[in-house]
Amino acid sequence: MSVSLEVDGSPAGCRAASRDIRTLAGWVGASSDMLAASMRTACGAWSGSSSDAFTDFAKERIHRADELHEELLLFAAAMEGLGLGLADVKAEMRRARNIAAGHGIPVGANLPEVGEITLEPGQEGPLDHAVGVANRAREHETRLQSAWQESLARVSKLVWDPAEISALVASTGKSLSGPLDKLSNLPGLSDVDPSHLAATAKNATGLLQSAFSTVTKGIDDALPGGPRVGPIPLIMLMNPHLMQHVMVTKAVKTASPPAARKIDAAIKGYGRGIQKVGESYCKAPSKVVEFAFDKAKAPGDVGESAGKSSKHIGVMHSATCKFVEHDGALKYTDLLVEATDAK
Amino acid sequence: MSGFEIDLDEIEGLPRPMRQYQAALLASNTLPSPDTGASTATTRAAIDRITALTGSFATDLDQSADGLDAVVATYRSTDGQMNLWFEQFQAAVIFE
Repeated sequence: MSVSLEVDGSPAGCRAASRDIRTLAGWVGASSDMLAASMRTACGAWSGSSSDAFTDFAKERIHRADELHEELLLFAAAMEGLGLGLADVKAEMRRARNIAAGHGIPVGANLPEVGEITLEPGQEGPLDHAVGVANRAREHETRLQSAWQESLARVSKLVWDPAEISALVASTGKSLSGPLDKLSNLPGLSDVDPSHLAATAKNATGLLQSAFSTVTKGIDDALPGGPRVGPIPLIMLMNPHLMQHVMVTKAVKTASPPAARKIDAAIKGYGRGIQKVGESYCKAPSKVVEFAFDKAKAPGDVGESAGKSSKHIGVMHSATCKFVEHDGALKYTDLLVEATDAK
Repeated sequence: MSGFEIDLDEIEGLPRPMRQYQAALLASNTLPSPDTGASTATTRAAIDRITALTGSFATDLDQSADGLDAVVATYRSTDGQMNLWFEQFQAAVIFE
């Protein structure tokens, strides 16, 4: 049986990819160092539970990034090794071809074995030599590919967020922990039924509205007399993250990551809408009155307490938005603020 | 205040390098997938996985920068009013 002299794979391509992966690894490592430096700066300039949360967030990412950095270096080295190995195999196949051709043995894509062709005197030994070289080169290639498969398998197991795995196998538990315990009485949260998550995702507005009320009340309790736009604390308008409503997202994530992603995206879209109202208010309070409060013309105390001048303030009863499902994700499409005259 | 203190001038400078490194990561995150012979398809999948992982890191840097911006903006808007409840809300929501 003839022996193929063809070797698939591109040594130059492997070397180039290895270089690019090393470059990427370098940026991952440098980014991790930057994040660590940021964390140190934050630790010296910021204290409290929000600082602790940032530190936890940063620490986790630093560890993940350092691990990724290491894995990228290993992968780059493995790819470089594969490229070098393939170059060796190709060289050995050329050597086998030259041995045979140098003794007048006809060689195409394959090398004939002894007995397959009629050999001239003095050709059998060189052909046997050439076949041996080619066979060992093929074994070399097989071992290279085997080692490469191990590297590929290692990469296939890498994850960025370990929770991605745990969430997939998690039960449908709804318990909240840490700071979220304080928010566990959110209306509607306890009713989230994993079996109805799809419907919940499509009707996120109801959950958002209940969150809206809860957050507003919480701010009222915590910051009585703070600046407001109608009944809505200015802080809330300026900080849509309050509306992102992590308690719903986290609870649902435990039950169904795909549904959680939809709700998460929808909530963020909603937050952006709320933020627009807040930013508009700060830039031009009278305009946002016209925009958000329609024809409400009643005077209020919002402008003064917020340090802005405003003549016309209405009462915001509710803020809702519409969602449409597009390419499997919920997209925020519109913000509707319902308001009446403050009188 | 419950132990809350913040030097806004220091903190507001942190998001900038995060976004710079995020951009550098994304710029380096287009990797060629070489011909590795019989394993070429699996190699492509591994390259895709690497770019996804690095993309996730870049996304987290962006989230971190956004979060710090939000912290600074929110604290400025409160004119120094702060309390434990709100602090914990920041902690729970921004850096989830």
